[in-house]
Amino acid sequence: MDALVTTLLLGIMQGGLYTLVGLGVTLTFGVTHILNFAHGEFITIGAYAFVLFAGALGAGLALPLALVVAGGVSAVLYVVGFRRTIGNHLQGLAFSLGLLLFAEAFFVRTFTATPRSGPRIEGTVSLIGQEQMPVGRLVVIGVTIVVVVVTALAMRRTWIGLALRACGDDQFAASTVGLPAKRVGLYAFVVAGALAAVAGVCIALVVPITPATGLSFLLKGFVVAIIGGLGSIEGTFVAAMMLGLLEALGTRYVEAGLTNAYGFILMIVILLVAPAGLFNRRQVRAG
Amino acid sequence: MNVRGTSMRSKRTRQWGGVLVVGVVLFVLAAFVPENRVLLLNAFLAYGALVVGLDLLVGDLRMMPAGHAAFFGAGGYATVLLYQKAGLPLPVAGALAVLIVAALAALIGLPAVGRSSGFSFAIITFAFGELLIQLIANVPGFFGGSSGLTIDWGVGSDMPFDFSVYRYFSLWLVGVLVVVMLVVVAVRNSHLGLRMKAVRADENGTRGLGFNPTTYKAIAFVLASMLAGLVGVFWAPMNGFISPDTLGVNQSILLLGMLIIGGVGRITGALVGVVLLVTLPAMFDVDPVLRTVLVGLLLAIVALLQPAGIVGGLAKLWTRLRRPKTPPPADGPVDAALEPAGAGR
Amino acid sequence: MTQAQNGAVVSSPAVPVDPEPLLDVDDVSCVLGGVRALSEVTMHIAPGELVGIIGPNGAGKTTLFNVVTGFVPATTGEVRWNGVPLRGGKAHRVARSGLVRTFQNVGGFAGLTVGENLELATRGRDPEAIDRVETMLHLADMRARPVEDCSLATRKLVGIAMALVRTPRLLLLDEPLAGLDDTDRDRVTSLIEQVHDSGVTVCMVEHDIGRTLRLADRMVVLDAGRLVAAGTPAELARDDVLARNYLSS
Ligand SMILES: Nc1ncnc2c1ncn2[C@@H]1O[C@H](COP(=O)(O)OP(=O)(O)OP(=O)(O)O)[C@@H](O)[C@H]1O
Ligand SMILES: [Mg+2]
Repeated sequence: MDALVTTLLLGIMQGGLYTLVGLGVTLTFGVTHILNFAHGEFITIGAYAFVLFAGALGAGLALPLALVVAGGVSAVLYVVGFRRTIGNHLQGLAFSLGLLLFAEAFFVRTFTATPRSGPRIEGTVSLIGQEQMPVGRLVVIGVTIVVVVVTALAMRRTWIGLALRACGDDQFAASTVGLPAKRVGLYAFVVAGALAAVAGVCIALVVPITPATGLSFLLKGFVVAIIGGLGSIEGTFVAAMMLGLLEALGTRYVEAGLTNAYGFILMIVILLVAPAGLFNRRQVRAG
Repeated sequence: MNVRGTSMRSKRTRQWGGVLVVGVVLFVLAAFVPENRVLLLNAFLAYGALVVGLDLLVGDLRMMPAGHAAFFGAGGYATVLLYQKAGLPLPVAGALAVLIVAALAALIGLPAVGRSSGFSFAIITFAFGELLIQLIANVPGFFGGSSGLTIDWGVGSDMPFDFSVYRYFSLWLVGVLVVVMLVVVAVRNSHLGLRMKAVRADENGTRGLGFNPTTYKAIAFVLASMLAGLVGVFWAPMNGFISPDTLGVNQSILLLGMLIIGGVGRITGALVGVVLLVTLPAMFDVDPVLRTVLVGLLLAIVALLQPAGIVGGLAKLWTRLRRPKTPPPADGPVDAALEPAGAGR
Repeated sequence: MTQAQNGAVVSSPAVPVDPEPLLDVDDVSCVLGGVRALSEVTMHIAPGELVGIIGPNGAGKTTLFNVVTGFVPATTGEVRWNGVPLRGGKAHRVARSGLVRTFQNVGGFAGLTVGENLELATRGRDPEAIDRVETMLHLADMRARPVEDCSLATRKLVGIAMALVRTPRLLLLDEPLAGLDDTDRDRVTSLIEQVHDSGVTVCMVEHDIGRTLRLADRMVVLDAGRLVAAGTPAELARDDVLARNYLSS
């Protein structure tokens, strides 16, 4: 029973991180129909930027700087590259795969593959019974919840959110009211880059980071975006929480070595049952 | 019946002849190349076979698997395990391994292949590679863990003509590459290839003709995966060592990179890509990490600027120079493979 | 009697008395992403008929074809082909059962030659049909040409030829005349007539109302997803409201 609470909290933390990553995937896909395999690198950039800036300037300044760096890189990549590939999904995919290959090897050369630790939030909190929970993890849960809620609200209430949702829904209709998908795509990439950077910072707060950190989270981001029905925010959130909890429970009570297999199996099962994902409203156009 | 016209026929002859010539040249090369270059040749042969096979998906159907290397690795691992742990003779182990890879591909491909957008396909194949790595790392007793498996030579030490073991496998790998090229040429010139071309151009249109596009994508996926597995069957004992790195997503993207940089839709494109990204860096001793940096950068740039790849771009240039006024040749290879599909039917 | 939506009454049975219709569309509605593209459409096609479907843009004509050929499932209602319900019918299976359609867009697959397209359509099994149709449509000297290098008219012909080589029992043509000039329209019109005379049941969607009226045995008018009227061309022309709203091009 005591262990269950800890396990659930861990699951929620993972689910929160997956939501941040999955939201970025789903947002960029919804607006531009680009599946960005380099999205995970924004996590890595955010994480390394945070660790490096925190060493030099302190964690307080490092957080906004990490967001700015990742969002900025995302914007630049969009403007010079992704924007031109809109409408040709294989080209966009190839471009993003090239970036992924480049970025990972580049990080290995620059930062080496040795894990690095960022600033740590000291202390633990006692839960019921003997269980202890590091404060850092609770902070991460808090941060992800706040960011996800703020993002969800922003998508409903702000002009940019409206633009993103409009383009995700119907690009042609959106372009007729002055929202060209290409420009709105820039917003999507910036927001996605920043969300990924938040995830990177959170990861750096609780575990050591390596150049491969981003890629491992990207896989989960893809899985939740697909399960949720590409393009759906609610779907991504639900799928991410499902995956986080499933992994935590499976690791604790079934088999720890298979942590990463659970998500994959979940994805296959859901795709077999509901081919369009859980929350997809789109219909295929024939004729 | 002369439905396809004579230009088509002469092109077909040229393709078969090309494979024959390449096969003979490589065979001679494999027999006489200096001993210190044998490994380099083997790498070319194996990567060449992988990339040419991969083109069945990318060039012919515009499917982009992000886990092709996983099937190569699966073929290698299956061979080694069946040979070493189950004690089967190497040829039997290899044949079984190819069948295992086919079964895996069918299992993975079926839920993924039918989705026309191709995103689920890219992601599921990507996830499959990562899953295999997890599996291998977590069952070290059987799979050798993340540090890999060392392999006894699967062949006796007495080689014909005093060949080294590496050179012995060169000859086999030449055979593999030739087989892969023959399969690809045969598919492209068959009715199956015609159907695949149609699926690439317009999936709904093929449905209207009574073809199920999913069937053809599944066939191509299983076939290409089996070819990758076949390369693994010969690569693993040649290399004497196999580790999860060989089947990771980085390998898979490297393969896609070679294909796209060289040029999709034609065998020459695939082979040029391999020479550029495997053979040349190895000849000049480029550090592997640096090479990956360069490949990634080059892939991004080529994808952006010349989706037809280097060979495709040169071919376009050549036709423009030679025949300034006429449109590009009718049955020309798919240099437009990365250009948008016939929209909105 | 069909009580038409706008009050027009057409005095012929919209449901032909023919005992065994080839195709029954029974109270079919189809909702696509929030749009009610078809609502409660009922119509039948008897063997040997040539039915023309007309209606303004977005009326649901293509959607009707999509539902009938299994590309899009009907939301409610039923389609019967040869008396057998097409419940969840897969498009490629329907296509193999002799219900053959062309698409509204240009015909043939880009990247393939005319000959290859026809070979594809016959599944490589019927070279005689290819020869026969090529002669009929004067496509024989085009066979080696890639379709993307052909004129629009030729591509339309290729699309029709690809349908014909498959010896359809019911041929659905989606705007076979669109984009053609007058000469080509006449050519294709007489071709359709010829095909129909050879015993093929035809159903065509067209915006060229004049030619459709001349060709068709029976007309169906769709508007905003509803079947507004059905009857012989003469009957429709007799109704002033109909004629004014739908028959003047
Ligand atoms: N996949 C889809 N998703 C949403 N709405 C659709 C879809 N396909 C068609 N529609 C809508 O359904 C309605 C009917 O479309 P349909 O293509 O059947 O019209 P049509 O009569 O063939 O028109 P046209 O003469 O222009 O070809 C239109 O309002 C169209 O916008
Ligand atoms: Mg239409």
